[in-house]
Amino acid sequence: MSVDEDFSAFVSAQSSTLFTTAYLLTGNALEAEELLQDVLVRLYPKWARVSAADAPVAYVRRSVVNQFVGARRSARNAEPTLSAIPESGSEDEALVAVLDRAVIAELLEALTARQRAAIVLRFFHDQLDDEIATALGCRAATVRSLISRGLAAMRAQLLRPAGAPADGTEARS
Amino acid sequence: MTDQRGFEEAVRSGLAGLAAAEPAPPGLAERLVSHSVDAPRRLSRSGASRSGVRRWLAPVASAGLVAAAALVAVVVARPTHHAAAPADPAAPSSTIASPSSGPAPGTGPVFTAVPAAGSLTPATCAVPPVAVGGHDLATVDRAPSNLTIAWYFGPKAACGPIQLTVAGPARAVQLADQVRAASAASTGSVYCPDDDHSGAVLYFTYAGQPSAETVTVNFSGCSVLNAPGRRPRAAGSVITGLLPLRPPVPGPTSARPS
Repeated sequence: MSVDEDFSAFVSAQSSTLFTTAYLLTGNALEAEELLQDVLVRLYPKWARVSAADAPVAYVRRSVVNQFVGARRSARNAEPTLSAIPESGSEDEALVAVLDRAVIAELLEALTARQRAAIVLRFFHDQLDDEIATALGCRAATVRSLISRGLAAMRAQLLRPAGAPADGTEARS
Repeated sequence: MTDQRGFEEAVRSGLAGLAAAEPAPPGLAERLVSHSVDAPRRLSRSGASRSGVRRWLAPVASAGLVAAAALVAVVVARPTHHAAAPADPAAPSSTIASPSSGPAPGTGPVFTAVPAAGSLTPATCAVPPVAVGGHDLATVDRAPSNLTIAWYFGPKAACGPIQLTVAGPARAVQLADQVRAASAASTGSVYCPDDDHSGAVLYFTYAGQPSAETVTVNFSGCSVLNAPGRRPRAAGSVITGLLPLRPPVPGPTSARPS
């Protein structure tokens, strides 16, 4: 099988799951496709090396995460703006609310790029601390901190009264 | 009271629901393969770097071009008029080719060839003037497969070979829709202050179509998008869509869209 054929077969088989990862990171279908496309164009010239990896899809997913984090870091424009935080209520009500996909999309927007990547890799892809650390290029302890702070930020946003401004207490990486 | 584990499970469930709500769009794999394989080859034909989808074709501003740009910068620091008339002959010139087939009849788009990397070497980096007119608005077809953007930073920037970037299908479709949805620009003679002559030429390409549909976007002054022989549209939303794609402004001074 030629490199082109191998690349095409990989993309055909994995584009859907990689798109999902990109979508959860970006929160936007258009940006997700652009993100995935950027990564694949960058990887295509060295595809023989990528396909020789133990798990090519994991390699590409790591590249998607890195591209996302790098792009957000360079943009430096991501102070969170929350437009549709639910009304304040009890935490039990909040638990129900977080199941709503529109709400969780808003909560993810409140996170830094690295927090968001860690949350998605842990709670959607069920990756372990070490795997997430490899993807993000940090230590496992940092991953635990990112996830802990990310969850705390989401929880705080969820319980914030409607219309209350973000307090900016969350450390942003 | 909701405990931490319960909240984590809620997040897990929410992410699954969010992912399920946005499946991969139709034809995604085909677009990704086509763009990944074809875009690098197209740009590399003229020696462009292969490092990434948006290959900034680094300008190599010669001393002569820098000096020329500095001279012209003095000349162009004046307002311009946008009107349904041939291009201002005093405007900075460019070697960019005129549309190869001229304005198409009817309401369709205007076609031209996509420039190769390094082929656009204007005397200044002013966006090329467009002879607007006619009754039909500048437009492009829906659903382009790719978009090549030639960036003009204005004569105040150091000017070398015009930088080309390639946007993928998703961004191309978005910008094509924004072009089509843009409202008509004001007609007649309109005073356009603060024109720094920065802008971009958009080359939309389509599957099975050898030439590209083009529009020219002026970032400053009247902020219009033009096509030869067409009526201009207001370019505000298109400019907003373009800014995230714009490469760094080269040279000693910055010419930012207003």
